[in-house]
Amino acid sequence: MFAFLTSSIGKKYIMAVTGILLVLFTLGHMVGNLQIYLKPEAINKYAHTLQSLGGLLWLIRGGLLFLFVVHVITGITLYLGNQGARPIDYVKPATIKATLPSRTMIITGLSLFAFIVYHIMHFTLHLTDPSFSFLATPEGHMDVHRMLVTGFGNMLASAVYIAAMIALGMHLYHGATSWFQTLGINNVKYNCTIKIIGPVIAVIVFLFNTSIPVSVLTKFIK
Amino acid sequence: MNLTLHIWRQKNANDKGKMVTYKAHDISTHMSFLEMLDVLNQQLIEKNIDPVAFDHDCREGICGMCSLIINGKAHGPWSATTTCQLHMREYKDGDEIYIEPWRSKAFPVIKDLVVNRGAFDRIMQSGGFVSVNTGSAPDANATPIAKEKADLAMAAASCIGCGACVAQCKNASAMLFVAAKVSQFANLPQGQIEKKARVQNMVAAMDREGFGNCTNLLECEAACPMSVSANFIAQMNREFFAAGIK
Ligand code: FES
Repeated sequence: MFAFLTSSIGKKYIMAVTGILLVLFTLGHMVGNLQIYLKPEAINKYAHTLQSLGGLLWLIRGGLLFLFVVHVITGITLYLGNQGARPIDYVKPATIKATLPSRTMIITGLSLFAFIVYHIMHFTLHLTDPSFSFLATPEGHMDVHRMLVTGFGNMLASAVYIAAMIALGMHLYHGATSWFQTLGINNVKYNCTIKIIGPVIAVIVFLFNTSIPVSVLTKFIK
Repeated sequence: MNLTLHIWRQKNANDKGKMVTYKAHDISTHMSFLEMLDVLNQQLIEKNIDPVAFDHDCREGICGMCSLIINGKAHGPWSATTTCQLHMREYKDGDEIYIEPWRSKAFPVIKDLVVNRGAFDRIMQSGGFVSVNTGSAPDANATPIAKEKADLAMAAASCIGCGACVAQCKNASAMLFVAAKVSQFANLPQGQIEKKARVQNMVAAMDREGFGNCTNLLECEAACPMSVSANFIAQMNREFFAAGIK
């Protein structure tokens, strides 16, 4: 098992499996947040339910952190190994068919890492704007709706989120299709479908997630 | 036609090497790319310059000896074509062409455009075979093989081991080569006995040689002169997983 995990293919399996789970989280997170389009009570109630999970919430957070750390460290390890595999590069390099997202996974990946740190400081820990902690609903719970509207009302913050969603879209464009190949799921009959799963997920996640700051900025959500 | 060629010159493995620009005169569009280099070498020899070393053997597109990164593409701009089968009708008078050796830590340059592809041989030695008792040839129909399986094995076996996949891959990964060699046996009944050890040993040998890790860019299959499909990489990943958990 150890020999498997430390081999080049094993590390790719690690990337694929952690990647799938992170994609599922991303989709779940997106669907949850889309409740912002319902009346304010909806997302506030949803947030309160999550907050009341107690130990389970920490278990989920711990699991996510583990997946994330493993995905990032393995990705960086693979990248550094690949740099070493071609010490002298071509004077005139060319690409035949590799897509831009597939060639920039390390850049979009590291950008997402930086973004997620900011995102947690912003909306989870309220470090960038401590006043978020005092936004309360009449029942005395966290007013997430108000927090999102205030947070995205800031042009700069919204710009960062939209830029990050471009990076996320690109990362998913390649990643959410690539894992099929890595796990050996390959069937001539289904290859066309497999090829578009990543791009479809990428477009969905990009459009829905970006719609939230855009809706706040255009006062569609108030 | 006349061409401007930028060619990697390196005296030996220890030399640092650099790109040198030459003018090649009187190149016919009927020549193959390697014949063009022959003509260039003749012109260099007449000027008392050391001719450019490059690999070749059959010049029929079947042996896998020729190499060359031509304007950034392994075996040049034509798909499913080896360098020896690339013809000068692709180019026009006054064109500039960059010619470089395969670049990979596992393929050290020996001289100019010639690299040492011994790493592939060592991968083959680690598992690219089936052990059978020799003797008189068995009856052709004694081992039934499904047509689809035979076709798959044949498609994998068409790999000529040139190394274009490694050279073109942004990560200098040898996955397509190793996958082809694993799959040509894995798809046949004769390859079943050593199935598990083969994939494990060949992947371990590949990792030892210092090739990069595959990131599913699929540049390999696009560069492959034999059009070996990256689907074989998926098959190898599957075989490797199955061997690892058993
Ligand atoms: S020289 Fe044999 S394949 Fe090109």
